[in-house]
Amino acid sequence: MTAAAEIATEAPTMPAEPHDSVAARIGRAVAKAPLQIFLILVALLWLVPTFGLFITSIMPTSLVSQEGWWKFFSHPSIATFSNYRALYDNSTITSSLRTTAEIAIGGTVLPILIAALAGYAFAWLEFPGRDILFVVVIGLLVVPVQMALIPIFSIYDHLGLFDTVLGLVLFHTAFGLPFAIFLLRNFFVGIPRDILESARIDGASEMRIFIRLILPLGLPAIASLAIFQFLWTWNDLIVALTLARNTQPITVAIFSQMREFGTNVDIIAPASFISLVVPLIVFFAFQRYFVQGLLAGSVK
Amino acid sequence: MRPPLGTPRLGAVADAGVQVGQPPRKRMLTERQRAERKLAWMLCAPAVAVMALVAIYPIIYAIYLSFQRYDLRFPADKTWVGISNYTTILTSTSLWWQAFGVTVLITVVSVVIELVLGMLAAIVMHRAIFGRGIVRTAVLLPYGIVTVVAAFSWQYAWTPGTGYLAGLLGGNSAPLTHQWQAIPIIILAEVWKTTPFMALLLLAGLSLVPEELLRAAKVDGATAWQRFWRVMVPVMKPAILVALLFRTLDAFRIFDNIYILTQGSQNTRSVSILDYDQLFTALNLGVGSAMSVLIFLFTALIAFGYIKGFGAAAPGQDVRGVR
Repeated sequence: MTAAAEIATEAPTMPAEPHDSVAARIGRAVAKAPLQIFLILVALLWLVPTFGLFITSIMPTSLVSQEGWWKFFSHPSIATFSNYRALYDNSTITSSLRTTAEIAIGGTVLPILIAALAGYAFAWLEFPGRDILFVVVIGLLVVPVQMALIPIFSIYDHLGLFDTVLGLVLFHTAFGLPFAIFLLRNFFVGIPRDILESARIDGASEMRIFIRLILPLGLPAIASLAIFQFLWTWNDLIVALTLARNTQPITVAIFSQMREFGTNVDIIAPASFISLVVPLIVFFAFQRYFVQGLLAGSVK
Repeated sequence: MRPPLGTPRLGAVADAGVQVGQPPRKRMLTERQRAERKLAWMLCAPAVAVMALVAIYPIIYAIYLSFQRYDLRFPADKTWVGISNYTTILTSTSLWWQAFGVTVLITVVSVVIELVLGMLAAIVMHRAIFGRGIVRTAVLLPYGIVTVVAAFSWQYAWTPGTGYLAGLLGGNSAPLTHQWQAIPIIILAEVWKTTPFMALLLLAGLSLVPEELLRAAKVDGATAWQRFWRVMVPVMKPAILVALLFRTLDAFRIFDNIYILTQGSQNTRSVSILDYDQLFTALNLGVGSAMSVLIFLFTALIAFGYIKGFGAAAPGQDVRGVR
């Protein structure tokens, strides 16, 4: 996205407007000040729910069910990390965090690997049935997950995949693949043909082209796909709720805390906060690719 | 679709400027082409295998179930009943059409608000000189937050006594226990979480609008409003389509937010919640599967509608006209 913006500004432009002097530029900046302030206000407002959650998570257990989190502002000394310490010893939460990480990593790496192979075939190889297969892939994009839950439930029961990390990873892989293939194929198609042709003429095998050329060039798309897929699998509630019982990811663990002990805010708030930290780190680390790669899949 | 089949492969042929079609080359299926086919099938095999097992087979099975009377509490009664599950659903105003209405309401209202807010945010972020990075980070934050957590923090905010927003309404009001108050809260939670996604996509589309085009329009005396509708929107059309399509499909299948906020009580069920209840609480697999199929058909219809409505700028097709 930034790259696109740079191209836009670097492109040969019309001669600048005659009155585009330094003074005019400062004037414009000042004129924009209210806008800036408004922007920052909206951004802050947008942050309030998250911030409230964090403050709640550092409130002492005894206070949290009676007082609102804004009490913190008049009595900052009430802040405590005891909730987090308690969480560390809560094996349900810690093991569910590990489970979530396993599912999210597996459910991200596997579909991307598989989709990269298929995406290359769809983009650059000719084979009968290619178009029909691609239409099927696109069609799978709109399938709601509920539709597959019951049949998968019985299949997994037979195969012993019910309540396993592998089972959940496979489900996320299958439902992540259509989008992954769609996005990667569209990105790979955009790779200049000349590069591939000269590699072919030089006698490079298709496998070598794939590993040495396509994968490195496709990195932006792969990175943005990784963020998406990671956020989706980390975010999932409905699939894990249905296809697992003891293999609980954090979403299910938090959810059952809410169901069983409605007022257990001292566990829910810090657990919620921890559960959002990891995807946020991933998200902001790759934020740049996020939009870039997404657009590659749709807008060129 | 790109690249079109039969496009000249070899650079030399292309250089000669001759558009060599497929037929002449097809007759002599070279060793290389045969190897290419084999490789292509091998590369697609893992994807096809996983999707066939975990996606396509279950879908076919769900369609099959939707024509059965199949209640897990009375498994012996399982019989073929044709379309009777569908007629049962489509004639039940209190369940299906009620949930359908709620879903459509939430989808339309939240997507419209998101589009407007997202567009504003994108324009402002695009024009801002400083603080762009910080603002973007702050506005994006909700999208990285797990829906369960986000919904929980909203639920907490509207809880009488400890919630900061419930206090605004005064007294001991519990807005989540009234349908006409709960639905706006669900929409608010949805808008809060997904507007950033919309804004990001639109911002990316916005960066494709050539500055000189806007300046030329300005020189020609176009007002800001005209520049927006006549210059920016047409160029951004593919980005708008993608943003709308993704968001509408997601909103129509809304589940987590409602499931946490109200559990579908007070007639706030979406079709996904209703379907889930049928399948996993009522254990009525026949009717539940029929609902799944209906949801699938409606989402497909929405996707189809967008793609038709927006013309050629559809996913999976070559997008031309931009840059």
